[in-house]
Amino acid sequence: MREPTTTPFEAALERRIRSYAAIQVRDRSSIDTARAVMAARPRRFAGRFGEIPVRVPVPVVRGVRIAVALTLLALAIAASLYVAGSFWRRSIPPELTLTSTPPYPVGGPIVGLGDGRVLFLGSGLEGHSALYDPATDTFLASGSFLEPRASIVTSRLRDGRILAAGGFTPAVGESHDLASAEVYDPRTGVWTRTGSMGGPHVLCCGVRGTDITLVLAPHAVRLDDGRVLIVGGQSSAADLYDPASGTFSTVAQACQPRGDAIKLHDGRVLVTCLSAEATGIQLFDPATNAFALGPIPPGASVGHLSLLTNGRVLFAGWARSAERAPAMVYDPDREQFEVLPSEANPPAVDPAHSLSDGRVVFIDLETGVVTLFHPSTLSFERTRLAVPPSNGFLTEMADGRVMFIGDDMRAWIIDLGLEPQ
Amino acid sequence: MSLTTATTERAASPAALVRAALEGDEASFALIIDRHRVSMTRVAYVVCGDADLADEAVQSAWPIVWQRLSTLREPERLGPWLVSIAVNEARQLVRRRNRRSLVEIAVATHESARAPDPGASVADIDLARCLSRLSPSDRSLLALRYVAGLDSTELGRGLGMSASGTRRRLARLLARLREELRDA
Repeated sequence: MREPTTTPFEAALERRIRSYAAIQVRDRSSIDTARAVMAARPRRFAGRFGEIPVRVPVPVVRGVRIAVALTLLALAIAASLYVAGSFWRRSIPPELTLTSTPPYPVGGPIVGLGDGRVLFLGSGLEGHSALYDPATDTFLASGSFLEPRASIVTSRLRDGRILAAGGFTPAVGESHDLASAEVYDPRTGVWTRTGSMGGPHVLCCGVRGTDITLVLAPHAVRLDDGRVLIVGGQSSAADLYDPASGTFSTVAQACQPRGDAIKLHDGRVLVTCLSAEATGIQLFDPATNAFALGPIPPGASVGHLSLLTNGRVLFAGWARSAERAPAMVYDPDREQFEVLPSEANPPAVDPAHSLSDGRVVFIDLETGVVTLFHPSTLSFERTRLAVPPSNGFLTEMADGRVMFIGDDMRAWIIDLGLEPQ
Repeated sequence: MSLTTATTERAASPAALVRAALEGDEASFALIIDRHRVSMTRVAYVVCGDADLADEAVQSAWPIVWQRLSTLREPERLGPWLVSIAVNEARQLVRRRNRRSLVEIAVATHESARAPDPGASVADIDLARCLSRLSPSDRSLLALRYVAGLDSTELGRGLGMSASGTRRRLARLLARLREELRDA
């Protein structure tokens, strides 16, 4: 029995929330749903539950045999996983809850400023931002969007400013997509308006059954010359931002980008393109300001691109709605792909982060599984957080540990064996 | 529990329904769905603020329920267990949509979902605004507490927290909502 409400306000709030939640629920056939669910995924151990309350005493000898068999089975599984280079680490990283909270709700992207501080962008009606300093665990109010916006794409410019482009207005009743952009200066904490893109590049609502975060999210990549390339989202063309002039120019694409984008060591930008049939890649060359199609990947990887220290690119992740695809490593110089074992490939979840030592860490927000990719051995290693974190930002600390800050204001300190800075 | 018993005895206990469903009785699983889908959808609605998304969350919860049903050690807790799964699914959907147009959709679908009541609509818009400013996990806490009626222990189980931690978090949340609804 739930504890009774303690104050008149809580009782009134309960009535309001119950009233708010009392929507008309769509009428569905329960028996059709039950049949579909049970037919689609037959249980492997149906009937097991019925054995539990009975508590039939198991003879000692039989119990010992079962224990020995289970032990041998566990050893065999552990050995095979170890040999495959993918095994579960026992350590569970400690969780640290931030002791301070932003001065107001934020809820937008979380952007690193490059000096350890982290900017929490607002996604609400006011568009307030808050600056977090992990060294002191404090938040400072830090400016507001001139035009409140949610679902934006961001990039840290070469001079330390933050570009926030596109998104949509979070207004009640009349939300519309935005092609405009603003720039945040961390020295002044002020947002200023800059040019507008050719299209809004806003995250699209996607198609049910697909992982829309992966398929339709826009991406911003900073080029070596300081310009920023914005691809993906609902716009068919790419946009190129020049911080010097504060203007955008539109660039035609070789294919429809849906996936991820990353800058290569030679300065070009690799962008994945997905369709219902295949995965492709296109390459943007800053020298010519043009896209060209690249070689066709052998697998249907739809997840993250990570630039490895040797210049190669890791294609990792697979959509839960599709069949498990293998991870791949692409060599831009030889224009060749190397396919890795599919069972080691983490699900295409966000976020993924490249560590300073070249490894790549993937955090599964649904299960809390942390997967670590070792570029030297092309192998994966896994551990698990006690409770899956919310979407957030990963930053390396001075003592070599890694702090993952979730947008629900929880922080995780994870020791991934990095050298202290 | 046979199929016949499950389908004819509308007052079948949760434990009996779970046991029969695990034995492959479609009618028992359908009865579980029938009994809980409304509360699951309404809880999911508070989390995601979108009637269609809430419906989608509940539909995607059923395969998970079916796969994990044998892990339910206390079948009397079937209801809290089901709404917790629905809440998690709603949070995942919200996360995947990157919290797109929560307020907009919440107000529009809510008004169209029931009879017009100007006074209630204004109050709902204020509440929808406040909810949209909360994190999905805070909205989950409110939904599980006030719509599903879970106690602190059950809330803790559903959200992966201790009962005392849940109470502290709820107290902070109430203080914040008191301020925001006063200003609204």
